[in-house]
Amino acid sequence: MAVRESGIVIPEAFRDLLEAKTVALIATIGPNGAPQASPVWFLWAEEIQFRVSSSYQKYKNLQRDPRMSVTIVDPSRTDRYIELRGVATVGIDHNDELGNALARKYLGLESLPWENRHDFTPAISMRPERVITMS
Amino acid sequence: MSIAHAVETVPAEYEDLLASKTLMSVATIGPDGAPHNSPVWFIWDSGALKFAVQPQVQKLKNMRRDERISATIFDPNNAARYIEFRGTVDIAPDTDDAFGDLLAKKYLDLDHLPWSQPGNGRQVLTLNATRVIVRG
Repeated sequence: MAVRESGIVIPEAFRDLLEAKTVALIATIGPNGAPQASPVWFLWAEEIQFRVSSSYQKYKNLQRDPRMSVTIVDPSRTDRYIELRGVATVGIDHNDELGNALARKYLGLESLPWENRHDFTPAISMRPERVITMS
Repeated sequence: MSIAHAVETVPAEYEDLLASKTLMSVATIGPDGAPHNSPVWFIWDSGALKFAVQPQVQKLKNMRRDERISATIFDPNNAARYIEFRGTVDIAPDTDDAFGDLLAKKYLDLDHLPWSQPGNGRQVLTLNATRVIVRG
């Protein structure tokens, strides 16, 4: 087992994890400077994309400090993972475009089957500045 | 989906996650204040959450500088269901490989970790949870 840093380059041997129907663990910095983490569904389009609720702490955290770490573990081999670190861009999921893409990836549906209880849904994207892999 | 909420102690319906062989994701604060995040094996030992790291890893350096961590265990079959623990860690050496043996038993059904070397310097982290959050 070895941990490797590859700058901003995604090693070819790890690209499958970025397409996997598994979750990404998102770590952010909380209001007191301590870390917080939780799993999300994600898409990869040469950047990590995911949605959060506008009422969630993660959203507030990223608005205050956009630095984050995103870790995806191989669901079938737990000693293999990729970690992406970088700065988040916080936007809005206009017309549920990202939500629909997540529904297609994870559920095989055209849209997410639950109702959005909030006025808007933030869409987060991040282009990795540091890539760390282990296998 | 239920909303994430804080609890005093882990509710009974989440105890299966604590006994499971899934991984725990540990987030620490790096030297520049940005978060780091990577998976580890863990043991739930009568109310105490423990994991181990090798002495040379960045995570250990991070925790020696800032002992605050977040540890998340999610259900591999339903990622909307998870427990997150936030708190600080106590760091102690794995004397006689006792903790390594517990990990080997839980995850590999072996008496010892096959790659363990005597005096390898493994460190055991015990979480003092100040906040427990569950969802799903």
